[in-house]
Amino acid sequence: MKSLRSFVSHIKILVLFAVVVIAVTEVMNYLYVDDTTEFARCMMHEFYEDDTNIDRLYLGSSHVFCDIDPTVLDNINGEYNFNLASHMQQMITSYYLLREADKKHHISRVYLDLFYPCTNAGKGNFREYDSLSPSWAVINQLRPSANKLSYMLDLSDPEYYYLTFLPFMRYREKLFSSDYIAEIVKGKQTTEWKNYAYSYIAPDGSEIIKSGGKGFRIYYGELEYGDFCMKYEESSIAENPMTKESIEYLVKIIEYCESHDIELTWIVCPVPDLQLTCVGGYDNYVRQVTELAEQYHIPYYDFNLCRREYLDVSDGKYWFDTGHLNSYGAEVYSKFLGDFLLAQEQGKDTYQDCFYGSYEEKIHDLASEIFGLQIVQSRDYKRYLPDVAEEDREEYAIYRLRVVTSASVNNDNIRISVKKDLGTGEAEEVPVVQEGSEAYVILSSHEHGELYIEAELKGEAESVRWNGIQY
Amino acid sequence: MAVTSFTFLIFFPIVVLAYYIIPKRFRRVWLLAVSYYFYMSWGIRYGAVLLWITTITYCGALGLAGLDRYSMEEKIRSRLKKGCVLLLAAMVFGTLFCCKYLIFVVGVSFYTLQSFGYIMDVYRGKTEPERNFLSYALFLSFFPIVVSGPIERSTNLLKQLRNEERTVFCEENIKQGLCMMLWGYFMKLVIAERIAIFVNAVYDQNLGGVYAIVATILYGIQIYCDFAGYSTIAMGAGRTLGFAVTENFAAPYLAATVSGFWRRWHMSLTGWFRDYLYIPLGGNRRGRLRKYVNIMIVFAVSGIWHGNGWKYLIWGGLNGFYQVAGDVLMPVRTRLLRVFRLEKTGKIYRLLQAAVTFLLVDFAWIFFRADSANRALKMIRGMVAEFDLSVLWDGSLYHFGIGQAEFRFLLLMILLLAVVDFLHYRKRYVLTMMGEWHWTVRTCLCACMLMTVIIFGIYGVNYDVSTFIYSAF
Repeated sequence: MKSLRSFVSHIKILVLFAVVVIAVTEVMNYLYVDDTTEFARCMMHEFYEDDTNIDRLYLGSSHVFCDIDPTVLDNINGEYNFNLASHMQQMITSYYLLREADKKHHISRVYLDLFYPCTNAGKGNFREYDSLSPSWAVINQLRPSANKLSYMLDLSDPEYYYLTFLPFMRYREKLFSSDYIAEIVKGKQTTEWKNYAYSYIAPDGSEIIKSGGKGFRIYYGELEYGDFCMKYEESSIAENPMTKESIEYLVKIIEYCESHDIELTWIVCPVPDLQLTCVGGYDNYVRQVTELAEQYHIPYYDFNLCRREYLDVSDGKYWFDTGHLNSYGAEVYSKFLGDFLLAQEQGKDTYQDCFYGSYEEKIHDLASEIFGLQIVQSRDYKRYLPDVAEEDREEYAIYRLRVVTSASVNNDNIRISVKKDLGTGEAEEVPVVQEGSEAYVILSSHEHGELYIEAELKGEAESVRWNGIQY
Repeated sequence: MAVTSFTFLIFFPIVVLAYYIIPKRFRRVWLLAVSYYFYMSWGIRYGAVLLWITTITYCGALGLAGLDRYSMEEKIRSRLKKGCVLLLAAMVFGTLFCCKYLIFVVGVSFYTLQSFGYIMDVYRGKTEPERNFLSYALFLSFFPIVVSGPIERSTNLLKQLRNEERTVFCEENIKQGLCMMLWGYFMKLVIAERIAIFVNAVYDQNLGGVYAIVATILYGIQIYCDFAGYSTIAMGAGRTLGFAVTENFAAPYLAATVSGFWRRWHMSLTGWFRDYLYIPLGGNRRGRLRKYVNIMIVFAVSGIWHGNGWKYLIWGGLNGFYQVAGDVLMPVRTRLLRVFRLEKTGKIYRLLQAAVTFLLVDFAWIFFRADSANRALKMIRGMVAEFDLSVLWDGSLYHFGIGQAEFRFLLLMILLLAVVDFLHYRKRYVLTMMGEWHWTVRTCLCACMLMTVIIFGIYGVNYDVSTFIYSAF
């Protein structure tokens, strides 16, 4: 009797202790965790609230939740499709989301998007501190379960557990910022947040981004030709670029699907050719995925290799930005994807017709075309300003320009001109040093404004202009 | 493996759990194994130094005791024993010298003093030589104290290690031990590490004026929270395993005199110097002048023990000088009391004494904290030359890594520390008081304390948690 009483009193202490710790944690999470614009929160809410059995599940990065409209696919394949993609979704997240979905639904097919940055060095090293954020965004929204716990423990090295288990700890630099807390609390008081229905409204009142249901996100707006501009630089994709962590979880996904009778297909949603050409070495990635697909007998369709005759989303009217399709582009792509996948299921081998063997082949096959402009600030003073003394270098800002084209364009035929806006309605010509498709301009580091850049192809009627490039 | 590291947070529960699960007779062996593992995680070769010190002092103590068994003239026996102690002293302190000044070995300053204290206790007949090598090895390597003390006595820890009953599971020990550890982490991570941001910024930039004054005042609190924090964690860890580790701090900044401060600060070291240096030198029994010389010697040695720069010697010398001057000026102080009609037992006088003591001790800390004696002197000159009180309210104090809100929070936490210390000073221990409170209050308080450390502690990614200051000595 005495030992029972002692046992009960110990339990009471433990329960009270846990209640206080959980209560404080919840309050801190409410005050500090910024999920006021986090799409994963909407997506997971839609997932948990949806009682219809999911037949086909789509996993992957933001390209998937922007590009694949499950409702379009419902109409094509007659089954229930659901988009469980999240921003920069890494393989570990795809694996645990698959398990989460499979707990509640009888999934028959899984389409896993393999967007290269999610599996290569960088975000593909998902255990490294700098790559943990996309996974945390999803973990925050998972309901408590053994699957969630397993995901949390697997995600990182033990030294980061406190950040995984206590989300507010990731915002410690804001610990004493009352302005930040006020902003977060205000954001969480809105009906959009309470109803899991975020949308981004432009200053003119028009809706730019909104939830399309079933994990799909609708992006309105489109690009002009001159909007295809990349202002950053990525290093070229090396051979066998997938990280061991990504492959490890890719294999786990394969094994899970095999053991649960789920048909797995790998896809890659299209991105503008500007991006892949700028980065370079994309075929190294294609080669490795192809090898893995052959090794594990997984169907693999990279829509960046798709022939324009079948899927042409090269025009700006399909794009919301230089990475994601807009609502129109998503409709076109989803329709093509649905039809194509259905044809494959029905045994019609249309792959050879629709796809190039490599990205290189595609670039060489395209007619002369300017994909866009890459503009990057360079600090290579030795190369571009060899005569300027070291102490004077900071006075100058060097901008490297590259007109990115299909392979059939002769670089010697490109003429690049640059003007800077004087703020008076007039523009002044800036001297350009050009070598083929590349050029550079040197401006004062003290002046800031907008540039107008124009690329002209000799013998072509139209030139391309990129306006309002900030410098 | 620092006790603030994530590894320790995994290591410690495993040690405790396994300790109470395995049969009693294996518990000390287990503790010895994990203690060596803990110590060698700082550097594998360090284990060899610890083993060397353990072996020579273990054999030396047995040799000393063995001399008593042989029949010989008492004078010869005494000489032999003295010779033996001197030889051991040369070996132990020779090792300390090499491992502190030539190649740095973590913790060597602490366990060499502890081992020599044991030799002296055996020599004086205060303790029996330990015949069980494992018990003695554990006495020197016990993981909560091996890196930064407290410097244990054979009459305390070794005695407990001999007693197998100490290793019996006791729930109260676990509860109290964990609470003590929590308080230690609070002192280190919430207060000391936060202050370190400000102090490091000011000292690294060699700022003067009020910046330097504020930083120096805060440094006094930082080093206290850092070292007392570690000692409290060590005491808590020891208590969890059923051992009462020596108390190292007793509200030192509430002391009325500098000598009183030293009776409350790093008590295990002060006690060691008192018993094994000051008293053998003659203490206060050989006249006033000799007493002053002895005090100066003790504090000079204490300075050298902390490090080999002039700054440590000046720091030790200053603390010795304060005590000598305090004693010499006693009649003047008594006369002043009469002039100002202040009562010795009055609260105002008591407060004034504590404030003056704090300022004196804090002034000496400048030498301890600065990179060199020259830098310390420059800092002191800067405090006077660039003195400008306006920085206290123009907001410029908040540009050194701690913003205004955080500064206020820090002051609040220091206030909490002061309250706890005040209770400690009045011999009212929070831990004992908590035992009288309702279990709900106790539980809520512990949970809130844990969350305070988790939320407000400075640790983890993007924060460079410094190692404990005293682990460098």
